[in-house]
Amino acid sequence: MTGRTTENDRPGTPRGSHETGRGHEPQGPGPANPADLPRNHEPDEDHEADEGREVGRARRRKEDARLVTGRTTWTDNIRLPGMLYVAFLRAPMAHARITRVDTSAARSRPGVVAAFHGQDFAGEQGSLPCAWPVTEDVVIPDHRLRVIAPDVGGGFGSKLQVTAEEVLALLLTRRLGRPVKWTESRSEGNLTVHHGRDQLQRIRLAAERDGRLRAVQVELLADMGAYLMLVTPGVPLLGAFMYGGIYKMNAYDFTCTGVFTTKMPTDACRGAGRPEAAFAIERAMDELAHELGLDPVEVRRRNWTTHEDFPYTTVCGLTYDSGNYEAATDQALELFGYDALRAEQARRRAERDPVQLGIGVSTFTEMCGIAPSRVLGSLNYGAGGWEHASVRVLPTGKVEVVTGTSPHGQGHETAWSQIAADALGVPFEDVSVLHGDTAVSHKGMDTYGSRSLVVGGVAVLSACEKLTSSPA
Amino acid sequence: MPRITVTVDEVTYEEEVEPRLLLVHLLRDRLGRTGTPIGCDTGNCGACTVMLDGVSVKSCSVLAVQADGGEVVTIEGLARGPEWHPMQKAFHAEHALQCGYCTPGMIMAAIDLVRNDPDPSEEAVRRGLEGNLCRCTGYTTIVRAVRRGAREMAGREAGTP
Repeated sequence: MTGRTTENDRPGTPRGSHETGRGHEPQGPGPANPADLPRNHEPDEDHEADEGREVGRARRRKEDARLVTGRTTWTDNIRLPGMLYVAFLRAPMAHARITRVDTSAARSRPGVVAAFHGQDFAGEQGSLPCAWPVTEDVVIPDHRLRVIAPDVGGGFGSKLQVTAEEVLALLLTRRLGRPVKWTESRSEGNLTVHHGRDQLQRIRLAAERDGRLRAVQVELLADMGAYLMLVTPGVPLLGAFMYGGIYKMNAYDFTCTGVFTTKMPTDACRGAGRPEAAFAIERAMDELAHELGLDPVEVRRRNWTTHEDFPYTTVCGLTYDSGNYEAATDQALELFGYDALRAEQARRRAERDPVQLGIGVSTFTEMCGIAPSRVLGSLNYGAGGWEHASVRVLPTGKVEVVTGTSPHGQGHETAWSQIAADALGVPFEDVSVLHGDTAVSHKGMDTYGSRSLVVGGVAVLSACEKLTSSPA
Repeated sequence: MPRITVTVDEVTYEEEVEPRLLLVHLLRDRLGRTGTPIGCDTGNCGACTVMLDGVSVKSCSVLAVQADGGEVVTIEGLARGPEWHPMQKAFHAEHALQCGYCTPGMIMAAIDLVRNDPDPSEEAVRRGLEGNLCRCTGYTTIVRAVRRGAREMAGREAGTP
């Protein structure tokens, strides 16, 4: 049971124009060229879809060849001539005062080139935690910095940040005059990667005795952690638009108090603000059903937006463009055998069966994509939400798509190739996608918030349309 | 330093190694075999799984000196020229990977699983691969791929297409 949410978009003005990315290899090999990789000689079995159309066709992924053969370039595979390795010794206390650091023992170890401590970087750091200023005022100007993010593994939000360690690696390179490499270990990650969420949610409903909602009031107490990272305070605020779920009501109130603590900061990770909202409103709807003695599906049915209502502007301020929760729910209940399960549940209760049956019901709606919009504008979202793509046709008629986003395993190289193939009328196999290197793709907003296909993909389509509409 | 002889993907190497050197570091840092990734540093994730003398091992939990005289097969040694191993094909066919970071270890562990159980049930696959973690897929497609790969491996051994 899902629904789609869009906003009443008025294209906003892009506010930022600086690159961001993961990893700061000063130079190095670019992303692997798919043409160099072993190809799967298995016959393509994707023949069921409409021959003329790529979008919607169940393609096998073009990313897989390098991944199933072990021939991809992970960030940690990159080696440069003269490269040194960096390791960080972290304070064993989460909250303590450092009075003295003695690096002499480290310096005397064989193979150790240099050892530094916090006071060696004083005055050089500037304002670290936010991504955009890194190139602006900290270490190195934009045009001197090349960021390469080849295949990087999964993301899930954890790779959102430009970390202090990455900036320190740049400072060390400049100090030592040699390339340096730092790969975060999993144990380090457990200490230093931002947390997805940490908030206390208080939700109150006002409803009629027949189950119809009148109002929802939400009060959040959100843990920011010890300092703010890229969008730390924005994550609980994203929920502001979603605590109403898919339901109609007359009034809505949302307040959020962010607090600093001694913990690792929170930031976007797997759903960022929206699953929290779904949990709260759905839990509250269950409570309402319980209090009124109604079936939890029935309470939802009495409140949700019906398909005749769309497009529907919710009390939270978003406009939902389309949906049919009635039909989707009916189908889900039938597939699930809901009535039979409820009957079995009642029987087990009556018989005091030692094995009891619990049945959970939830709707879920998500806003994602995070494109330039009225809502993002109202949040003063500095990153802007735009995306960049360029498309070039080579002398042979083959096509290269350059995108400013960079996938983490979602299969976007395949999806973007399908979009470009349809838009330009070329075979899927004749499209290659270049990404993840600022020397190739000079601007972009990267991958987060389920935006790469819906925003980055539209950028690819728009670039293709410009190409086909330009005079020959 | 101990001197070891180890065969990796049918190439024999002689290396002087520190006794504490892990097999995965030998593979990646000394031999340049970066197809085997490091996912954790606790032995939990299984991304670095390789075959050592025909048995799957987590190469972060084996010392290089323990591989002395042994034969290692990594994900890079599975294909025969351009022809992928049936398990590689099955992972591609069943969409059993997204970011692909766990995939080398998954494939190596799956091949070992099938060696012991040529036609594993869904539950046998889930139990057999419990030492290999995937954050992306939710495992459903991996289980399908391993079962498909097992059928195709059986077909290959029986000489049928």
